Amino acid sequence: MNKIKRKVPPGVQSRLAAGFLTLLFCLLCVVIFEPQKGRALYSFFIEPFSSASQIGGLISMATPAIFIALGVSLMFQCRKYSFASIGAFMLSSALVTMFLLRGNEKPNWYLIPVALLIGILAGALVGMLPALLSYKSKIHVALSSLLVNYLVLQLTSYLLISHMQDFSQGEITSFQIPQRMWLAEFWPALGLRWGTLLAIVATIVLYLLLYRGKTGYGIRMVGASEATANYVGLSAGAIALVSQLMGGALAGLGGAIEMMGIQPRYQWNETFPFITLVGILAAVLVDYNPIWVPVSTLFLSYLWKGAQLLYADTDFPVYLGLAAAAVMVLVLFALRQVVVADELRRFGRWVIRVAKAIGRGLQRLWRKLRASLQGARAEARETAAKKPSHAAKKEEQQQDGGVQ
Amino acid sequence: MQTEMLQSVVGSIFSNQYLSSVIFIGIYLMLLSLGVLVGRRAGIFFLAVEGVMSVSATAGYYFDGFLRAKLLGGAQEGSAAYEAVVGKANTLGWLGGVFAGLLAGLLFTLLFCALLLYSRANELILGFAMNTLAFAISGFAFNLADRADSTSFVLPAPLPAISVPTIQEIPVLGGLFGTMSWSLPFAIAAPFVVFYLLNKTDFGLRMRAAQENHAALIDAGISVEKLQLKGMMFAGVLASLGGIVIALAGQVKDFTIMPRGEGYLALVAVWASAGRMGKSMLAVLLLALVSALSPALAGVFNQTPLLQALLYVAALGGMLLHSYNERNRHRARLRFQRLLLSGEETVEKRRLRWHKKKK
Repeated sequence: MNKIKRKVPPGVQSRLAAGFLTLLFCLLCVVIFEPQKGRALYSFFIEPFSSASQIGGLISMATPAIFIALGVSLMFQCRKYSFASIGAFMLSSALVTMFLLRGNEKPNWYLIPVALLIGILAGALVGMLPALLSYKSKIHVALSSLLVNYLVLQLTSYLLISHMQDFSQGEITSFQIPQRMWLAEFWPALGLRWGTLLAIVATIVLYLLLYRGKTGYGIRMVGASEATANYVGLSAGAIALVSQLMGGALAGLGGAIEMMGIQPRYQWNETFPFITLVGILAAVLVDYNPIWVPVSTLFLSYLWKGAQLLYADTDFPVYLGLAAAAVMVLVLFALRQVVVADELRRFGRWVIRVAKAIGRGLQRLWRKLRASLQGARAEARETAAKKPSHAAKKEEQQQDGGVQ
Repeated sequence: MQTEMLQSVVGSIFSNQYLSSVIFIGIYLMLLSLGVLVGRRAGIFFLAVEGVMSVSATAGYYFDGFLRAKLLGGAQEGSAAYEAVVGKANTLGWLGGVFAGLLAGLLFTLLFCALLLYSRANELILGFAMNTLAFAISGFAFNLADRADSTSFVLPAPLPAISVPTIQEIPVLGGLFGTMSWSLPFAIAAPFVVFYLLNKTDFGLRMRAAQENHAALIDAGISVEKLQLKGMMFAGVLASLGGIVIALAGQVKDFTIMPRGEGYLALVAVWASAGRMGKSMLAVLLLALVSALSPALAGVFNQTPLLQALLYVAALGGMLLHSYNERNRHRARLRFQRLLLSGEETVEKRRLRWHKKKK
């Protein structure tokens, strides 16, 4: 256990434990609520890795979430808890869908860069709004960002219903974006598009920016102490503003990439895309460190993909994936104050102590039982010895008969 | 054409349907705001109020439906067997729903407090994660109920209504309050109870210290965490009641798990009035007036999402207005301090001027 403690830092231990407990939570949910247990467990845990296309689908699904998580990391490192990434993603994907649906005759070299640019600008605008309200009017940034999300949700619902809706579909959804406008594939065997590569590049760039650059140092310094940042000559307000703008832009880029090949129909009417919530929780899981964002996002996307496959196979509630992501964050919060290895060691000692106590109790019980058995046997032997044998009885009877 | 439209808009706004919508929305927003207010007094930004509301509404709604289905035992509507048990099933259904909603809301608040007070998690991120979990739980319950047959789940029984014959005869009020839900008198009493609790009892005054000065509580030998936990339990009860009203006091068939951010609106109402109870209630009324526009005008305008967007614009506008007032007040205070230092102004002069103005 000491080796584990030395080799694996407490933060990683608690994350591994949280992941394990989350998988256990999913297992329990499936076992309790699903009658077709075997099939359901296969769909949830194994099917996401069952083929190359499934693995590719999983990575593609994680791609927009990576952008959202990166944006959130940037904002939260600055201690500006803005949740505007959700709104940024939605507005950007709605505008990109509208733009691409109307760009039938235009060439791809024009459509794709402009669509990406629209996504970035829309995202930046949404990210900027709560930041400006906080900077200029000192309005609570978390609260205003949540309200902005709801505002964007209603606006995008309006755009979907009145400008993009495909009435031939059963549910409210937009027309499909033509395939020629999707991003090209760079790994056809897995079905991965250039958006995924862009996500990897963004991860590395953001890591270098935050941990190896002056700007990143400023952002982290504002996060540590705004007063100190101001004291050393940094403009804390401007840095916070820039970080939120960049966070929104990244989420917007994620929204544009989502619509260009991953989810080619805009379909979020009156509900938030779950992938945005997963993205925010993924950033929280790794303490907003960009380099670990792909790992946490892939894990949460695996849970989400498993829930989707489970829903497709057995009609089990798809919300399991979202619940699992939230449970993982809550478990991580609960384990934050403890060192998991120490707790496991303590638990192990407790188990050994309890096992020993049970063993002693059983031993005592066995001894008592043995003693009582031996006593019973000895008594039986004594009574057998005292009792006259069958032959002696006959002799006695014969003697009695002779006397008579 | 425009005159006709205007007439129909005015007609919709002055209709009984709009006013009863305002009352219904006002009731649950008020209960949620009171929960947020108590949380604020306990020194906690109760972002998870949305989750507590959502979980209690879901638990109340589905437990009521499941219990009612069990008691009805699959009897067909209109049959003798149905008529024999429907009264008992309805009463036990809504009672069970209220109990389940309260219990679920309290457990959810307890989880939030345990992670916040004892694990020292960030209250905003924790609140967001709790709200996500609550949304997932609601969706999960919705899907499970969707899969269930009529012997496992039926439409739940709403909270019972009280008929007041005297009020029923009054022209406008009769339509609004003649037959009212139990939640209305309860909601009218709730602010007074909360006001008394927060301002007139030892517990309330200690809670104020939990918001403003932890050191004072520690010096007095009072555990801040325990006090905050007690306060949050009370806040949880109020938020859960808000959720139960959403699920069971209105049209039960209209209940949806789709988030509309009612909890966040309650937070806005309290934060935009700096935690003052009277102002918070006024903010709630204004938000209810705007929120009720969307169902009332749905027949006039086709664009319901845009009408709903008005609510969030109003909420953001309210926060901006509060911030503007605060800034002005702060400037006036600074000006007064400057004048005080230069000797042009004294506290006595200011008091006299204030008294004159009052007269």
